[in-house]
Parts: sequence; C-alpha cells; structure tokens
Amino acid sequence: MNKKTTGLLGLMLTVLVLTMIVSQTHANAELTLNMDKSVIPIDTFYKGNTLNITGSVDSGNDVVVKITSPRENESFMVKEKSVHLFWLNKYKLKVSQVNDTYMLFSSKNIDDILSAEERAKYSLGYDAVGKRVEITGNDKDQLFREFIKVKESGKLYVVSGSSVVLKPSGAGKSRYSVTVNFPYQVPIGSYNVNVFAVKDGVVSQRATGAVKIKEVGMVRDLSDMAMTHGGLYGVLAVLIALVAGYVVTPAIAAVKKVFVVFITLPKMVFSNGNGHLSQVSVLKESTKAEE
Amino acid sequence: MNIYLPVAHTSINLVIMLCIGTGIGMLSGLFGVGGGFLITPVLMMFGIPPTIAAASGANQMVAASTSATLTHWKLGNVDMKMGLYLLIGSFLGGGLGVQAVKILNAMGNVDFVIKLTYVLLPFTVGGLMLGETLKKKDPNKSSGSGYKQSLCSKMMSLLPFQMEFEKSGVRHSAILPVIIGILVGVLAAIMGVGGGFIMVPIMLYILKMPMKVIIGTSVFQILFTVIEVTFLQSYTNHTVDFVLALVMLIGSSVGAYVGTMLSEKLNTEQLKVLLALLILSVGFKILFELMAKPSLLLAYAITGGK
Repeated sequence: MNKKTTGLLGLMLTVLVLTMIVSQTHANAELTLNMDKSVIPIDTFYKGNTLNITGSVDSGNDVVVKITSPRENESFMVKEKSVHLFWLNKYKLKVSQVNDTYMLFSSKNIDDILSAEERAKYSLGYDAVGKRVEITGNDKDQLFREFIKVKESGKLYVVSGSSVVLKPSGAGKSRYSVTVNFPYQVPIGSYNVNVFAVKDGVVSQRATGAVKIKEVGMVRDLSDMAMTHGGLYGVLAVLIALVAGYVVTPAIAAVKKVFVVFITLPKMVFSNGNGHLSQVSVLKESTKAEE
Repeated sequence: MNIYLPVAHTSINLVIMLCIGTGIGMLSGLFGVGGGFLITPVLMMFGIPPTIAAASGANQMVAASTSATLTHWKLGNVDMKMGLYLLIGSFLGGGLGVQAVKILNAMGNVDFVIKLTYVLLPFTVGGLMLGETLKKKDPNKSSGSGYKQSLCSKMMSLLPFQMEFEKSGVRHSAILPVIIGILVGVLAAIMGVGGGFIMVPIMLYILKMPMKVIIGTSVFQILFTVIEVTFLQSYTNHTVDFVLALVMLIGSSVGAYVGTMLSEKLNTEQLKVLLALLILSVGFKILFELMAKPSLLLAYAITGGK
C-alpha cells in the first residue's frame, strides 16, 4: 500500500468520523433535556421536592420521561392466611433486577403511543418491567401485581399518562415540560433521567440526564454517626434522653406555677374589696404548684 | 410543619408526633407502663419501619421513664429493694430473650411469635385485671379464689431467701422478683417493650404490692430496661432514630408529668379499669390486624433488627 492510498484512506476515515460527530450533534439538538436541579438536598425540614424537566423536541413527536434508580435485587415477605385464621408472613420472595424507584410520565397514554416491542425494549410501563424482572414463586403475574401495589403505596412507582405538556415553540419545534414530584419516600441515591421522543409508535430520539438525592447538614451527620459510630450514638441518645427527662419535669412544674399565677391574678385584680383574700389564694395556689 | 428523620429516612408531621408523644407519656405516668406496646404500633401506623419504631420508642421511653421515676421517687413510691431484684432478673432475661429472638429468627418464626405474644398477653393480663376489678364490685363471687390464693402464697413462702420489702409492706423470697424479672426481660426482648404492662399485674396479684408503689417501682425498672435496649439497638442494629425519639420525648415528658399528677388524684380501681381496657384494646387491634385481609400481601423483608 503506497503513501497516496494510505493518505486517501486516512482522509476518508476523518470525513466519516466528522460526519458521524456532526450527525450526532444534530440528533442531540433535536431533543434536548434541561432540569432545574441536579441535586435534591435532604435537610432537617425536608418533606420531598420537585424536579422540573423541560426541553425541545421536533413537532409531531410525543415525549416520554422515565426516572429510575439503578436495578437491584429486593426481598419481600408474602402474607398468607394460616389455619384459616391469621394472615402471616409465610415465605420470602426475591425480585431480581428491579428498580427500587420507577417513575414514568408521558404526553399520552404509553400504550397508545408505543408498540409493545418498543415498550419492552426500553422498559417503558409496568408490563415491560414485569417481563424483565425475575420473581421467585409460582404465580409470577399475581406476585408482580402485588409488588407494584407495594411500590405504588410507598410512592416509589408512578406511571402517569398525559402528564408531559407539549407546546409549539415555532420553527417546527415543540417545548415539553413536566414537574416530577419526588416524595420523601424516595431514598437517597442517583437517579437516571431518560427522555424519549416518540413518533409513529417507535422511539425516534433519546436524551439522558441524572439527578441525585443526598442528605446534607445535620441529617447527614446524624445518619453517618448512627451507621458508623453506633456505640457513641447510643450513649448520646441515652444521655440526652436522661437529661431531657430530668430537666423537663422541673421545667413543667415552673410553667405550671406561672400558669397558676396568670389564672388567679385577674381574679385578684378584678375583685372588689377582697384583694387581701385573693392574694392569699394566689399564694396558696403557688405553694400547691411547688409541692 | 414536617421534620426529616435521618435514620428512618422518613418525613413526619411535628405536631402530630408531639401529640402522640404526649398521649403515650400520660399513659406512662398514669399507669406506670413504659408505653412501648403502644408506641411501636402507633409509629408503624405513621410509616416508621417496625425495627426503628421499636428502638426509637425505647429511646423516648428513657426520657418518659426518667421523668416518671423522678416524680414517683419524690412522692416516695419507689421500692428500691424490690426494684433492684427485679432489675437483676430483667437484665438476665433480656439477654436470654435476645438469644431466643436470634434462634426464632433463624427458624423464620419470629414474626409469628411476636404477634402471638401481642395477642395472648394483653388478653390474659387485661382480662384478669378487668375480671378482678369487676369481681370486687360483687362480693358474693369472691369466695372461691381464697383457697387458690392462699395455696399460691403458701408455695411462695416455702422459697428460700425470704426477706422483708419494707416499702411495699410485703415479705417474699428474693428469688421471686428475680424470676419475675427474668420472665419480664425475656418477654420484653421478644416484644420490644419495657415490660410495664406485664409487670404491673404481676406485682399486684402475685407480689401483693400496693398500687402506688407498683407504679413507681415499675417505671424505675422500665427506665433501666429501656436504657439497655436503646444502647444495644444503636450499637448492633443502628435502628435508633434520635430525632424521632427527641420529638417523642418532648411530648412524652410533658405527658408523663401530667399522667403522674392525675394518678395521685384518681383512685386505684379507676386506674385498674382504665389500664385493663387499654391493654385489651391493644390486643383487639392486633388480633384484628392478624385476622383481616391486609391491603398489601407483600411486605419488605426486614433486614437486621428483631
């Protein structure tokens, strides 16, 4: 192979690579993903938070937004009626390769805009999740339905159609937006955000992002201490409880004394000609409170 | 106003939790029970995981019991001698109980046993107390039990190490409170409670102690039991949520004070009827939960803890 041929091949490869890069950039430009925050901090007064997801998509596309925690294995206890009397945890159930948290939002009902194959390919919807997970036990379908019920009651699984809003933004583009509610039940960790542009029953484009939920400040310090220095944490928990129990009782007695004075003082002030007697009764009440 | 719990990883309503703490503290002061058998199911109802509910409940009971013990101490209601013998037993029993839980856990039957004790014991104890109280109102029906009680007293008097418990005005063998302490310790470890609702009837019907001394001595014993449980749960299972306990203990300390003051004003019979009804209601609640079909047939497998 001479130098000319090598040079020509090199040039062709360079052009090919550049073309691929340009086309990729173009594809990304068609579907964009913006989030108003990348970290959701858990502080002392945390009661959940929201995540606003917006972006641009080609007109005529529907949009599906999926937020998931990494896949893992989970264990559950199955309740059954025992001796025709009591409902008890009978046996352990293992659910493998499942997301602890799964949230799916779409501009239309997911079943109406995507074929079953596409839903299964991208794990979009409970049916698709059910096909992928491995569940021990005999009646897999029934157990999977119960699994979804547990997750939904814990606010960890949500599937919501028509929750992504699409608005024309000109130049053949639409702006999509969805506000995702992260309840406090969603545990700390990293979450994948996937946005799918859907056209003619298939996924045409995809954009990805990530959001992290993490503890901060006193919440993080106490959590870390409880997990890594359990003994010290236990001693502190006992000591503070002892001090609180010791301090609160005299404090309440003092409050009661003040309360008694405030209740009886108006009687003394507004009594006509019996001021001396009222003062005596206040003193008696105060003495009782001290006792 | 919500507050986030760093160990339970749950957000709770501060006002509601303070009210619950106050209510349970009142019961603690009023009846001399630690409130553990009430606090665990109540916290679970509010979405706190069972192991954290039990461990944090024990932590808050440290404050409630301190407050109640101090008040009863000042009122002269604590029988120290009896309390120390009970403590020896309950520490031994607590150790045995923990081992029993470990064995039951390995066998996979721990949940069943815990729930069964939560049904059987409240019904037995509460039923006995209520029956006894009602029987006293009808003196014609009290003739048959005299022989049984005298036989029981005779057997107890045969035990060695007999001694006078001056504060309670009773004479018993030292072995008796130790054995009762062991029993209470074992049950406390299995059920995750201080054991007051078990000990109060035993002190009343077997040890024949006066009600006011029973309450004082019971909270004294509970205080040390929950201190042990709090430390062990923090050290071994990391299930004590200090923030939850702090919120509960503020409410419970206030409640315990009010409850103790009320116990001075109410008569013994009223106290016993209320306690019996409370114990029975807990039993009924758990029985109903065990028998009614649950809305969720799956539960997260508990890792660690009890």
